[in-house]
Amino acid sequence: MRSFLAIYRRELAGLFLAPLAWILLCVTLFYNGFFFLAALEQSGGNVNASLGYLHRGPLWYLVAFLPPLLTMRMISEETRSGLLEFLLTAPVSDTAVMIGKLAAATSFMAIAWSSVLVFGLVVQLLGATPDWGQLCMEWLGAVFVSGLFSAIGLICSALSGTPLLAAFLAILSNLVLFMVPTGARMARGVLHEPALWIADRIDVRAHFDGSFQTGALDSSHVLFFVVWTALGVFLAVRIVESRRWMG
Amino acid sequence: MSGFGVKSRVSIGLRTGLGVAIALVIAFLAVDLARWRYFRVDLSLSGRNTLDQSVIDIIDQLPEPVVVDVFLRPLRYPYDGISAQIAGRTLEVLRVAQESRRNQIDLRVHDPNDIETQQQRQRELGIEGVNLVVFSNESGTRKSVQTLYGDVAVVDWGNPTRELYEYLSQQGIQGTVNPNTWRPNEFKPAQVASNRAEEVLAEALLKVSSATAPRVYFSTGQGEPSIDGELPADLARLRMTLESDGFEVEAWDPARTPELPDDCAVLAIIGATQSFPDGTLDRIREFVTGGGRVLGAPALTDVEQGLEGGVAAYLMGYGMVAESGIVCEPLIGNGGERIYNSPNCATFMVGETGLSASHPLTEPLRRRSRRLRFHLTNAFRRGGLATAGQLLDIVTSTPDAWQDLAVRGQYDYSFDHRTETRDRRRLAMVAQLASGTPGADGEIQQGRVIGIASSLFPSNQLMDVNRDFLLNAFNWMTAREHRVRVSPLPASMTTLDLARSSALPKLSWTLYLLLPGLCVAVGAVLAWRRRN
Repeated sequence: MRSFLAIYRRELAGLFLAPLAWILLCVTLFYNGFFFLAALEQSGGNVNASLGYLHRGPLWYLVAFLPPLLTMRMISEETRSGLLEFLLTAPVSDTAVMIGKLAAATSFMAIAWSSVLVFGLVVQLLGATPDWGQLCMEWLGAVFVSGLFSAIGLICSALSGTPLLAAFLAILSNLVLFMVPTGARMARGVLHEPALWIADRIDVRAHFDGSFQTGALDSSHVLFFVVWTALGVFLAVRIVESRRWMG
Repeated sequence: MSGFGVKSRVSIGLRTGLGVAIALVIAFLAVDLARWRYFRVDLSLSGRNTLDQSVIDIIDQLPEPVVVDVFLRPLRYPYDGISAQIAGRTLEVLRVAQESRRNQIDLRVHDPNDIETQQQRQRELGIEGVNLVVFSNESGTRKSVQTLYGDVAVVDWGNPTRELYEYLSQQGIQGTVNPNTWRPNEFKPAQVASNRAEEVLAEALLKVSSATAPRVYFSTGQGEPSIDGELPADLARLRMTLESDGFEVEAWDPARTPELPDDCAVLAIIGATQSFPDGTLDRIREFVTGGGRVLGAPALTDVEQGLEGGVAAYLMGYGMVAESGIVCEPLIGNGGERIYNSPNCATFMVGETGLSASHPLTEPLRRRSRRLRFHLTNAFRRGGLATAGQLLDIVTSTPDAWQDLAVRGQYDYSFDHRTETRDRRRLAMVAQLASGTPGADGEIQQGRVIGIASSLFPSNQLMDVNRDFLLNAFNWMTAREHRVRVSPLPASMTTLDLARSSALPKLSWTLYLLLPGLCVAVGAVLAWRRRN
């Protein structure tokens, strides 16, 4: 636990002390603000619908691109600089290293996405009380989604030698993850049942919409994100580990 | 170079591969198992994820899972807004239902762009069309087809232009204009009058799960409006509504078959303009005394001409005496002044104050602020009930109404204080008899009679507005009251007044400048400190 916390603090500090993080935060705030205001005007001032809109469209574009940018350096850069080898030989388990990095990236995304909570607070100050239960669940869902995509980012970072390639691979993987279930639904008549079954089990969007988006806490949807994120970490650890025996 | 030999590498690689494969299988299994054993908490303030308990009970008691197929196609501008609103709300309710009992409801939302798959599924279901919600049991033996515009949501289509009217007709949406008031060159936007998604869900689930459907007979042969006719005064839309609600509808001609069919659950005698054959009314009375149910609505000519052996004469035996003259209410002008002398005075709405709060038929409508529309209607006066029972007023007009009497066969639609009086007029009444016969379940089934003072009330032209009342009436008569006791899922809505407050500029400054600016400032400070 102590080693995990040390890695987590180190990674988080690394993120927040870099100007890139603040630029990303600024862009996220502006991006969310723009869509929130547009939705608010479109819906005639319906606060809950507008805050909910942020989690229907804008969130998905953001999580497809932001976690890869955050995680791209986490392993590939450290491998190149030799820092990872030092870390792996230190008395810290590989899993603790990966979980620490994942937690740092997810925490950054949680802070970035907490802009929706700030928006809720601002509209509350202006006299319209948002549905806080729903808003908090939407935020929690966004954090789970970010965790999953950060895990994918870590896998790609572990697979590639350069950060840019890692980011590219991760973005591609994220887009594929979005498109496969949608494509499978569209090709329901053509695809065989096992393919549909698999597509259904990796449908991130449906699991977010099914509970978090509507303000419900559902153990099955929470478990979905936890399981796939854990698998992502497991794969990332195995890839890093393979460096030892593959040479 | 690592110190591992080729054999060792292959061995470790295989073990790692196996480990990854096992992890993948475990992940899939865990995700799958989580769908079966789960807990769900609704944390939204509006309770939007919680269905009405009566709907939950219905879902819990389903004998087999129900498949819900949704075939949507968005409407084009200027109806894209209400189209999205109705579809969104419907899907939300269906998803909440599915999430609340996953093993019982299989929701299939078909992609509007994937026409081939849609058509294939529609062929399997034996239906065609778009903007439909189809409930069916897994074996496909029973189904309930609900239209998005009409059954799920009642839309006031405003005044579409001729082009838009044709477009809506192409989409299978009927009854968008009133031929009497439609102005083909003018446009007035549409709006959603009511959304019944949760009620439709409950009703359709009940229909799909019910093994038998109650049979409703409509009398024919005495000049009644046709149950297949599409004219404004006909009853085709009532028939279709009843059928989609799980009733079987048949016609009964007493001149050909004097005896009432044995399987008649409800007899509807609506708009007869001639007397029934001798003995028919007696047979209908016997039917009610034996626990039968009758809905009667006299035609205007029946009342005005004092037809002997007509619907009005029949209802009189249950204390519902139809009076001559049409009920009118003054119109209100732009300045709040009362306007008389207009034919429109004979068309009026009855709001919640005119609906009985103590009767299961009208109470749900009153609670949900539903309204009814009457056109050229007579009114009832209380008479004596021939047999022991209870007589109730369930729909009344406002106290401003008067009964406009015909002068030389013409109505002047103006209030004449010498011959006419203002008062609440009884527009619908219910008689529940004390007598009855034991039903299949051993309970005594008492006779029930509903009298509606106008045969136009259930007609095609007023069906959109009066649909809920009529469905409730038939469900109450067949003792399926539980179908009408569903309260709507609350929509989550908190509004910020953008037009009349300074909220928008404040929000713009905060969201565009203050918050992003703060980030830039913190980032700049950090960068500067690191540099120094």
